[in-house]
Amino acid sequence: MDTILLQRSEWIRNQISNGIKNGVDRSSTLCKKKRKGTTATSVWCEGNKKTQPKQATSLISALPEELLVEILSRLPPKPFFRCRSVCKYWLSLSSEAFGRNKHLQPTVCGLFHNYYYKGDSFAAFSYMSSGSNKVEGGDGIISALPCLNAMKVLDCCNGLVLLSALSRRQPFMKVIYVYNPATQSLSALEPLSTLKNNDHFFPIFSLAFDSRAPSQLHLLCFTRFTKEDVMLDWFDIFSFEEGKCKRKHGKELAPDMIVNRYSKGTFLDGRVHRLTTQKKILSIDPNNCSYEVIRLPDLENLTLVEIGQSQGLLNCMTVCDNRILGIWVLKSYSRQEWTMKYQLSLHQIYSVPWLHLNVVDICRRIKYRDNFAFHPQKDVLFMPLGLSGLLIFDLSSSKREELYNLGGFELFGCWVYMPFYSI
Amino acid sequence: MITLTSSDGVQFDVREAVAKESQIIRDMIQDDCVITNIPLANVNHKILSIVLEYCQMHVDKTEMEVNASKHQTTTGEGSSSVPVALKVSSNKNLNDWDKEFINVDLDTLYDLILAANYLNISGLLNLTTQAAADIIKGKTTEEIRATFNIKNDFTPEEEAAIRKENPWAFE
Repeated sequence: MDTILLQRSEWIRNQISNGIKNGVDRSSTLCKKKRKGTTATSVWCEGNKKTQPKQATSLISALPEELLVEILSRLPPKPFFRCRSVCKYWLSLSSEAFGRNKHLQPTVCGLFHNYYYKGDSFAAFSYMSSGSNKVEGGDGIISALPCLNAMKVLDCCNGLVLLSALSRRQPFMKVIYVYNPATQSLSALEPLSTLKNNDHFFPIFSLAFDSRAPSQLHLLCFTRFTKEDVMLDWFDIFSFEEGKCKRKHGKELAPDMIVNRYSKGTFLDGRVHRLTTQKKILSIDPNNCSYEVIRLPDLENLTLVEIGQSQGLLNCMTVCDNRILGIWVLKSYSRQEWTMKYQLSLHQIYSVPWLHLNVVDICRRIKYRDNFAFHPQKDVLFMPLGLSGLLIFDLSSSKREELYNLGGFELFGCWVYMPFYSI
Repeated sequence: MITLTSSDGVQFDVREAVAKESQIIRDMIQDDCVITNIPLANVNHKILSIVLEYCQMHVDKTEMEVNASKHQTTTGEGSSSVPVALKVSSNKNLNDWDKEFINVDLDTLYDLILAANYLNISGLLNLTTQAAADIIKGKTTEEIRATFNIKNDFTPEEEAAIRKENPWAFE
């Protein structure tokens, strides 16, 4: 009891001599107490170990470091980045707060998609608040898309969106842009910036962006024009560093390999995966321009197949006999073994009687309109729903949410979006 | 009943359940069951009374929910020992109460953050740090500096460089 009384009088003395509520003095009292250390008080000091106030003039900066980090880690993106410019001390704390800030972590917050309107295509974004099916048009929390002419989403990878839009200077040319919706930074990808605006001969693209190496970016461009036929049996890789194209590689695929232009690419473990028309998976390493072939699960009467990424593994969705949907996971690259994770019938997913389900239309919308996506973090599928909607189906709980009228016109393409920030 | 003594010597008699909102006090009581008087050398009486108001409210609320689930058929309210003024019927009310409760000046807020951290009251720590974040939220860099009395120790070039990294945040 004596020690405690002593401490108390010491603290009061400090308060009186240095002005009440001066955080610096308080924390120094904490440290003194720790040295004298009754059992209880030494435990109490534990939480304040890191107390190193650096600015005596400011009370908030005199809070223990970990508490200031806690406050910074509760800020939404804009105020968070503004706080980095407040003072050097806050800047130094922001790196730790960045890792802990939930608002800055890659979590699914919406969908990019294109829609047809009067023969032309347009890009749109639908905001999706987590856990509910609330969808708002383009003006959700993030202003998702820049203002460009006849814009179309080509791909979306780890928070970056690849866009094409009509050139302002040359009306019949298209420009390829990469856009970060979170930070609203838009850059045209030179030298690929202008391409002839001819949908039929327009190449298809895959974006390869690893958020752990944000200065790098690869763009894969699948082409080959053989007379009238568009046989995608060639790919070019453009490697960008700090926004500049550093090198370009081209490679022809083996004779029996033709890339399926209707399905989207999947970037996983530094490799771009794409389906071929012969129902195999191309796995391309953009760093050395080599590729491997992964076979699909061996199934009879396979009517439909799509690939994607979920929870860090390559996933594959199969439909057999226009009825049975299977979800497969590639657990080992080297052995190429697929493990079946879910199997269920399409009418279980849509929860309508079999006769009322237009299976042909569903399969067509997945196959040619790419109205399909895997949720990158959960066992959830995005499936076509009529002309312009999507069904969000939770495989583990069989819960479904319906999103109608995304853009209001025929939907094609759908990319799950998770924002990307960096410090 | 437990007696908590503030740093400036003011004694507060509270129910054990209320004191136990603090993880630190909970641990002490568990370690030593005869403890009745706990001196809190880091919290003055003004802050301690606010902290205890928070604990009291949250304990009453939890107890009322327990009571309500016990006597679901009866109204449950008349029989409980909760003072009428503190009765809240839903979580929404408690959130409203929290919002009103945390509407304090900055100096008090710092002290509450420190006290919540020191006493390890997770609910209060969440509430207070979120309140501080909310104060920062709508402000420009200059307003943040002015509000919290922070000196800008960047050179103009350094500050411009940081702003250039994320220009979107300063629009």
